[in-house]
This record gives sequence, structure tokens and C-alpha cells, in this order.
Amino acid sequence: METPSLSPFSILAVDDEVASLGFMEISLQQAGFIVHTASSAKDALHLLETRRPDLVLLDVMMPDMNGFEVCNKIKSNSLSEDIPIIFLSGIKDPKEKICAFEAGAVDYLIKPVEPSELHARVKTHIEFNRKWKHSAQRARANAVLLQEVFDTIEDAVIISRVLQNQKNEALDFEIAYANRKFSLLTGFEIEELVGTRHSEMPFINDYALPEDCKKSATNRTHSEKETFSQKHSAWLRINISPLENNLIAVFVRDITHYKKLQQERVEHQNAMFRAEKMATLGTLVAGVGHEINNPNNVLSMNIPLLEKIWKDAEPLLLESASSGKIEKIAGLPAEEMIAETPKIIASIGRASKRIKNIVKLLRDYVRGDQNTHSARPIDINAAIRAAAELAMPQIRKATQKIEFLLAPELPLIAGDLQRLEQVFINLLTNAAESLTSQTQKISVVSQFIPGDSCVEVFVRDEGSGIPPEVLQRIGDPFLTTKHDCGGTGLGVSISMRIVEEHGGSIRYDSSQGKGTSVTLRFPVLPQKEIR
Amino acid sequence: MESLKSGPVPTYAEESPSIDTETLIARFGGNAEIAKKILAQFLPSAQDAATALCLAATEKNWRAAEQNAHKIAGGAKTIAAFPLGESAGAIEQALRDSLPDLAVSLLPRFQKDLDLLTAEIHAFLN
Repeated sequence: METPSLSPFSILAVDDEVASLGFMEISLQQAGFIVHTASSAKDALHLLETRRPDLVLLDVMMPDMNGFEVCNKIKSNSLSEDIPIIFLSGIKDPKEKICAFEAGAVDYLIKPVEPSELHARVKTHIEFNRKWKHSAQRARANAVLLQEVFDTIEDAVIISRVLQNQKNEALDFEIAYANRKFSLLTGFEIEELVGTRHSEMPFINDYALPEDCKKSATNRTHSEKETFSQKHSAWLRINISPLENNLIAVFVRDITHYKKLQQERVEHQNAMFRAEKMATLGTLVAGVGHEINNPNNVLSMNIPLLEKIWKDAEPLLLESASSGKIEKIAGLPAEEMIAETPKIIASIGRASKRIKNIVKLLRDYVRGDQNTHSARPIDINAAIRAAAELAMPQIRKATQKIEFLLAPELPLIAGDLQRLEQVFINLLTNAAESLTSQTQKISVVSQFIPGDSCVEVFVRDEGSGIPPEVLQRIGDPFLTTKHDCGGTGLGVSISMRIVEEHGGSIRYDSSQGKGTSVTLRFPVLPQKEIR
Repeated sequence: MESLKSGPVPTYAEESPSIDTETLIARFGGNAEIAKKILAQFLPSAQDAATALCLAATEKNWRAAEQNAHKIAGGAKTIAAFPLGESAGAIEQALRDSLPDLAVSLLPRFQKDLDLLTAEIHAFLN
């Protein structure tokens, strides 16, 4: 007889017949097994409450309870369900064997059994059971690990089984696995998701995923798409990948943040492009302005001379015209021409001044930061009042309703009074030009914001407002809605630059048809710097 | 179980030994002492089961009779007492086949095999 090496395996032998029980005990002990014996079903079940043998050898026919019932009880107890059971019986009836396997037995031996065969079968079943338990344990650990990994990743994930027809065509999919993110995304518990078919899942159908999954499973190809979810108010990127063993994986990622960054990048690129274009254009226009200024100087310097010449020439021409010596000047009746000429000279003078003004604005714009200003402690209200005085004729033409709510004794700011005056003239004239009715109001408010240590000024109007597309580019030079009435598109741009040079900020809020509000903020000059 | 059904009646060779001691000792790893210990335990157990079998047959408690026949047959085969194993097995099978009359008719033969075995075991033990 084969004598195996000492084994740590323990066996529970159950038989009501002493010789059979003695045979199992002695035979297995000699083979190195640890053997516990029970001569009744009751004793066996009692013993199993405190011991966990590696295998149970069980007789079928016992007086208190038959072996199949004992087997069922062992298998229905979570503490003993994984113990392999071998029946050892004198009954050769195949029906009995089937009953044994149905009750959960792993083997059925007919008495008398040869010791070597008994040892071999016992050992094989124990080792197989150990390997199976180890594999099951590893599978459980892997499942836990997989769940943990999938729960930590950013994507919502499902792994689904492909349900095919006889032609191996994918008909539907059954969710085999879902992570926590997918559960949160769809509002279903993981337990509810597992086993659900794609055709029954609202989320999957909302994004036409069944068709994508079918294509991916049939063609063994990856697919990716981006879609906006109204329900989640989010951009989603959905990837589908075929896996081995007739499985597919669906990954869903919230890319809203990425999309926003992408949009911001495009906007930034556009702004950069616009700024570059404007810088080039600014330089070009300033150059042209300079070239215009020289001949314009000739005009402006000679206009006073021309006026003097006319003053001297006018009486002579009038005399000649009245005596009939001259009938026409430049093809027009002489007296009419004599009357018009001073107006023509005056209009040339005004045009020249306008050219000079435009060129000055262009220079101001191009000089930008180089334009040094003498920063002194000033009261912002003084700049507002001076600007209002200059702009008042134009304001009065537009409205009778203008109010100034200027806070008394405002803290001083560091600045150039004249340049700030220029800013407020621009804001007030723009406000006046936006009004469409004399009943619409312009209001100017100044106040101190102690928390931010700054002086704040609002210039509000109830005018036509600024279109959003213009508001978006409000600081761009040469941007104007007043081309037809002489707007250069430099006023706001220059004002913004002046405010920035003063360390301040300027913000435009506008609603079309309701008006515009411009908010300026300037830092207060620290007390120690006021001399 | 009450109905009498026809069935094969086993025959036995009169000269067969009641126990194959060589097989018995081999089955217990060649240890004659252990084999004797098992036989000493088997004998009273088998005699008790035989008494219970006869009583059950008298009372026509065929289920109890079958269980006791099964017990004796299993034990006898384990200790290589093949004649008793076969006669007890025949009774068990007859009762399993619902042939109680046949089973009852096999009882004398069973009793004889048990008696012979008892004698041989006593001789072997001494």
C-alpha cells in the first residue's frame, strides 16, 4: 500500500457501521490524515459546529438522518458550504449516485473501497478544493481591487457583455460591471445597473450608444464622441472599446472644464490677434497722422494770413463788384462769392483744427505709457467738475436731466488732473451722444470705498446702450459706432489707458435700450504721500 | 412492500470461507492487530443489527429491515466477510425492490452465514 507523506489535511468520517467507520479512520490515519469520526448524522453536524475539516466522508444510509440530508445541511451552512463531501456507500444504484451529486457531493464511492483509491480520491478532492478556494479568494480580491481602481478613476465606466445572435451579430449588451461614477452619473445603484441591458438604460439610449456599441463590438474598433448633456449641463466624452471574451467597455468623462479652457484659449488667441493687428494698425495710422500734420500746419498757419488778406481785399472787391468792373468770381456772381468767401476761410480753419485734433489723438494713443503725466494729489471731483463744465454745452443739447452726486471731502488720489479731465469729458460726451430723448438722464456719482481704499465714480446714462458685440471689444482702438458723425474710435481706448496709468480700473456695463454704466476706481493716495 | 414479487434467488458456494483474512489485513495496512480490533468491534454490532433485522421482518417494518441489512452488508464487505456481505446485500436489495417475501426467505441463509462468520472470527481472534 502506498504510504503518502504526513499531510495536514483533516477528514471527518461519518458512518453508523463500526467496521466501515473503523476502516476509514485507520486507513486514513495510516496515510497521514487527521481523522475525526462520527457514528451518526447528529454527531457529525454537532462536530461541524466546532471543527472545519478539509473533507467529509459520508455514509448514505444512517438511522437518524440519511447522508443526503446531512450533505444538504452542510452545504446550506455558510461556514461549511465549501467543504468537499465524498459519499461512501454500499448502494450501487445510479439514482443514489445522482442524488448524492445533486446534494452537493464531489464524489461517490462504493464499499468496499480499496484504501489506495480512497486516499487518492480524498487527496485529489482536498487539493482541488484548496486550489479552487484560493482561486476564488484571488478572484474576489481582484474584483475588490478592480472596483477600487475603477472607483478612483475620473471616468464613469461600465463593462458590458455582448449578447449575440447565431450569426455572431451583437444584438444588445448586458452590464456586467459599473463603477461608482457611472452610478452617480445615471442615478442608478451599481446593483441595479449590473444585469441591465443597454436597450433598457435611459442614459445609454439618450446618447445613441447602443448603435456605437454594436459597431464597436462588430468591427472590433474603438469609438469616441463628444456630446453636450442637457440633463447634466455638461460636455461628455464617450469612449467605447472592445475587450476580450465578448465584452466591451464604455468610458464617460465630464470634459466641461476642458471645453471651457479650450474656448478661453480660442478667445485669448483672438484677443492676441486683435491686439497685434491693432498695434500694427496704430503704428501705421500714427505714421500717417504725422505725415498729415505737416501739410496741415501749413494750412493752419496761413489761415490767419488769408483772413488778413481777405480783410484788405474785401472792400476793393466790393467796390469793383458794385461798379460792375467784376461780375463773377470763380464762376459765381461776384457779390455772392464775396459774401461766401469768409465762411469758406472759416470752414478751412475748422477743418484744419479737426485734422490737428485727430492727429493729436492718434499721437496720444500711440505714445501710450510713454506719455508721462505729472502725478499730484488731486480731488477726483475737481476733474469731474472741470470736465462737466467743458462738456456741458453738448450735454445740454442732449438732455435737461443731469445730476451730480459727488461725495464731499473725498480722499485724494495721485493723478494728472488734465488727463483725468480728458477721461471724464470722453465719458460725458459719449453718454450725451447715446441719449435719444431729452427726458433721458445722465448721472455722475463719486464715493469713497473704505474697504478697498479707493475712490469710485459712476457715469450712468439712460441712452441706447452698447451692442454686446461692441461691448466685448470696447477697449479696441478705432472701434466706433459714430463714423457718420466724426467718431475716431480712440476716445474710450485712450480713456482706458489713462485710467490704467493711474493704477485704476474701468468697467463698462450696458444693456441695449436701457443705458450704460461706467464704473471707475482709483486707489486712494496714502496719507504720508500727501504733501 | 407487502406485495410478493418474483426475483432472482442468489446461490452460494458452501465451501467459501466466511472471511478473507488476507484481504482484511491488507485493507488495514498489513496490521493484523488493527484488523482484529475492527473485527472485535464489528461482531457485536453485526449481531445487534441481525437481531434488529429479524425483529423488523417479524414486525414487517421493511424500512428498518432494509437499513439493518444494509448496515450488515456494508460492514461485512469492509472486513472482507464476503458471504455474509452478499446474503445481507441480497436481503437489502430484495427489500429495495419491494420483495419482502423474498427477503424473508433469505433470512435463514443470512443467519447461517452470520453464525459461520462469528465462529471464524472467534477462531481468528483467539
